[in-house]
Amino acid sequence: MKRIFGVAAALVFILVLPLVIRDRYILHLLTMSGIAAFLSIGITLLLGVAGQVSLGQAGFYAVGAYASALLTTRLGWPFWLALPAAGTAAAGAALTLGPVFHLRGHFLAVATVAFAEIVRLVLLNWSNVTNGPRGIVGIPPPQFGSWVLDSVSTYYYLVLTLLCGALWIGVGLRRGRLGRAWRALGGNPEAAEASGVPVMKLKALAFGLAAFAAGLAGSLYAHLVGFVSPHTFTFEESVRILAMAVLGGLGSFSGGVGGAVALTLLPELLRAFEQYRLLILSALILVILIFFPRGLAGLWEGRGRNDG
Amino acid sequence: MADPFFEVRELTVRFDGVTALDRVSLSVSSGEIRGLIGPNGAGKTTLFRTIAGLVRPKTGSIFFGGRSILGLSPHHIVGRGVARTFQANQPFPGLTVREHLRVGADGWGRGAVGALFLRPDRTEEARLRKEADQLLEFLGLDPVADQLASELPYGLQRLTELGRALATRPRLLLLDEPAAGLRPEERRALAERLRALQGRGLTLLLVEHQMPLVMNLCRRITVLHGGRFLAEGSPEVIQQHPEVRLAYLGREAQ
Repeated sequence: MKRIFGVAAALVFILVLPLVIRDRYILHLLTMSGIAAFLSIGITLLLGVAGQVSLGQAGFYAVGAYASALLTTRLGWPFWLALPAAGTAAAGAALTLGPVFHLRGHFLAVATVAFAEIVRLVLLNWSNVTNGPRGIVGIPPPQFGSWVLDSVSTYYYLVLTLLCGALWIGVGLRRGRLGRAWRALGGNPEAAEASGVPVMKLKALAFGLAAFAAGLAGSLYAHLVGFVSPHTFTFEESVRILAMAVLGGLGSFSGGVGGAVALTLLPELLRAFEQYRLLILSALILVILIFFPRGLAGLWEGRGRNDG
Repeated sequence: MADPFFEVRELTVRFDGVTALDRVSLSVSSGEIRGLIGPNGAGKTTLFRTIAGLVRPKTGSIFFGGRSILGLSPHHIVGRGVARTFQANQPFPGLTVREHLRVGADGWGRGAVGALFLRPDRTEEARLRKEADQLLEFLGLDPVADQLASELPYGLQRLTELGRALATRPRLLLLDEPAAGLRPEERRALAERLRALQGRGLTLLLVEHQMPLVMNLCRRITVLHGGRFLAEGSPEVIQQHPEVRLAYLGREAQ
């Protein structure tokens, strides 16, 4: 009961924010936080539930962003078709990793780094499609008939609605038999296989879903900013995405969202400290993880299992 | 003659030039508890791993219920009705005992992507829940059903391991030293449960070092030695078999 109240209060707070905050820049940052949350809840599912490390989420993020940018600017697709297409393209890219899914732990993580690097190099060098390092400009905002969603607050609500859907799906998946099987194979793939669990397929499915979420994030990013270039999708971005989920408390979806907001807002709020910015940010993350080993989720979920 | 229920023919397995199994054949009838013994390095666990689809044999064939299961992936072999328990307890971290059974019971017939879009309906879910409850009760695990398996004492973890395999509804169960590390009273309870499973029509292939347990449960015993078939027969015949005694006791004992 207390918990439902907490969720409702948080939701009301999030809903009225754009009415209170008039600063477009801060609203933009909050919207970016929501987009980052897609990336982070993908990792929550992949690492927090299925126990698979990816250090290449920026690669899937990039595939989604470019897919959406190209489909709308070159082929004139509407945003509403380009968005699911971006997710699908990223999930499809994840499935090309199929041959390395039998690798475990760190080996698989290194393979995902290599994948993201390949994506970045393709975007940089395949100039006649991607426009190389100059990127793609003039990506249109979403449109409903004649209503163009070009204000930050409308975009904020768009991202929020989609995010609620993604969270609902994520929590449902974790609770069901897929979640059970993912947790089993993450802890002990051989015993999971001996229990009849198709380990390789479920690993691929977890990667595919995390990539799908990253692809949606890419599309939302592209249509918010109106411009994409390879410089956004670096290894540092992959690390930041992983850090969001870890800071939030691995395995907790609400924690993952919290981590995404923290690691989007904090770097901006700390701009005043200039060269000490990264130092303060890193120290802050360490302090949180030392005092709250279960991450931000530990702050609001108290003791016991992560299930938010 | 009808096909035997489970049959291994001329199985040869080599690892980097070392022959782990050398033309091993074995035939088990339905409802039997077959003992599989042999000194360390005899190839018992390798045979299990090969049957379970984790090791590719150089030559030979494996038939279950008249169909070849060779070359199927491990989870498909489980789906066909051949399950195994591990020599060492391997609880899933973070999963309760009940969840261990559910991992085995949840079928994947509709595939991984199917599971994403199709949820088991209410009656299916209720059936799976009830089956898990019955299995928990059969194993005496109901009092600890909602505890993390990794935090249970050894004997209860051993039972969880058995339950995980049984939850897949096997027709043939490969047991790799199920009594290892159990206390005498736990061992007796295990023997009773294995007999009860046989009574329900389950066929068991039992690797075990606890000789009294094997002699008590099995009417036929197969002996492997150095990756080769050595002998097969009733417990009395095996106990008296000169080559088996030699293999176990070494030359000095003669």
